[in-house]
Amino acid sequence: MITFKNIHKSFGDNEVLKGINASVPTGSVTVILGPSGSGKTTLLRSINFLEKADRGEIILDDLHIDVEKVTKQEIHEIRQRTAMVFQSYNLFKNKTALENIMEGLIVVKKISKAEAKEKAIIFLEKVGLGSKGDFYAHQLSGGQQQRVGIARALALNPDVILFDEPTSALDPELVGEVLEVMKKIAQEVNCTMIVVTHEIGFAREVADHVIFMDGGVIVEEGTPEQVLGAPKNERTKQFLARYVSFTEYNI
Amino acid sequence: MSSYFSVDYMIKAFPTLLSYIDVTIIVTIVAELFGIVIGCVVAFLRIHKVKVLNQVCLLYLSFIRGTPFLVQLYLVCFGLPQLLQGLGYQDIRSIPGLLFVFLIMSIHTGAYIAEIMRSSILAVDKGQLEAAHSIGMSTYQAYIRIILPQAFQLAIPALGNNVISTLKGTSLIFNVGVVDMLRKADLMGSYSYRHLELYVDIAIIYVLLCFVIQVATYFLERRSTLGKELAS
Ligand SMILES: Nc1ncnc2c1ncn2[C@@H]1O[C@H](COP(=O)(O)OP(=O)(O)OP(=O)(O)O)[C@@H](O)[C@H]1O
Ligand SMILES: [Mg+2]
Repeated sequence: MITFKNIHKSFGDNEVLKGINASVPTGSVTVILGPSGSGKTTLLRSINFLEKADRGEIILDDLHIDVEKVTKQEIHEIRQRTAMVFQSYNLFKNKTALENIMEGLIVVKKISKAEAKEKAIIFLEKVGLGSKGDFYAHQLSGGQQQRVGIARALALNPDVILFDEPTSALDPELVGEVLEVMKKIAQEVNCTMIVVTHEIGFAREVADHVIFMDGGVIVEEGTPEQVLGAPKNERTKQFLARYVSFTEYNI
Repeated sequence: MSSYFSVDYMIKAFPTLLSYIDVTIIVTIVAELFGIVIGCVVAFLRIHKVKVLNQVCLLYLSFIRGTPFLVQLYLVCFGLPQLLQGLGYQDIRSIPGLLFVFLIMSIHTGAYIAEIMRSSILAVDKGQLEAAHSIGMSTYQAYIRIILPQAFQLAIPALGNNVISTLKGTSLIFNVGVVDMLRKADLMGSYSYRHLELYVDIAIIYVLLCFVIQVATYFLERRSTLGKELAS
């Protein structure tokens, strides 16, 4: 279970998170929706301290972090127990696909190189890229890079994987393969997933819980049926009206 | 003609001068190796604006870039031993002079490499450090394994130029008593009175050395995976 209590974050005068309270049960898939600039990325990044929130609490099972008093050890620990999949993939450019996955295993988990390689191959196969192990990022398509990114996160066996718009940098025809992999993980791996995405279809099909954010607050949350099927808040309705028609038009 | 310029003498002297190439090469290699270490550390301290040390680095950089190399050479090779002696270290003669040359060459080169590395580290996508952090790597681990290897690939052309200027800079160290190729040419010239031939030899050796460095730079650049990415 991961819980946020009263998370606040400002960039200068711009208050981006205005007190976020939420809970995500272990093993569940939570999708965060919201218009551009609503603070979704900032919230996700403050979980693993790529961005340090100004105040609030982040509680991951037994790890209880008061953001204002966070220590280096706590940051290190929560980073070890979470992993992130980035919008722009961020594969290590000086490493092959396989080495990208091995890196965390060797350096952070401290397992032997041979064992790390074995493990990395398994995860590469899981995302359907068993034959691409020796390719560098620039030799892979966007969709393939993102699948390696997912395998890299997954291999570390994290409690939580954070996805920040994992498909929005992809060409439309490549979105499907990445969503497919994410769906598979949601079904097969008992790992908490927090996914920021504009893919309403994915949210409807895979999510256990949907959070709608706007202007730095959670406006509405609930099951996909509740939030996507029968939204109560006016802003949610407006957002969905735009996005659903847009997505369906796309298909 | 041969009274103005003796090709024979030029050819005959060439191997003798060439045999002193090791001094030039060793000083260059030592300066570059230590310079790279200094440069990476200084670049890191400056990019991350580490308290106090960042200011120390700025002072260091402006001193090195704001004074002629010859002045730096004299300061360290003549001034520093005097200072040590003044501080009560009497055994100064037992320290080989070349050690002071290594010291100042490394410090000098380090300042220039610091600027090269700073801009190439900044050119590495900042998502790379974030990705490393996100999987639990420390900043130090990320630099050693991810950021610096990429920064070096981006810095290959600039580092190649730096090696060339360091190499040429070694031609000044005869001023503090080190016998390198140039000093040897001086000594030979004072016997043969044929300075021109000897200096032409020296010029040829430097040109060849620089050529080798340029070729090496070119191949390193072609081999780098990032280079390929940038080219594609
Ligand atoms: N490093 C930063 N410095 C200053 N302002 C920032 C920074 N990062 C984000 N912001 C601002 O914070 C606000 C929220 O940004 P955030 O990226 O969290 O939104 P988002 O919901 O992820 O939007 P999108 O859907 O476009 O990705 C925006 O107004 C943005 O300009
Ligand atoms: Mg975002």
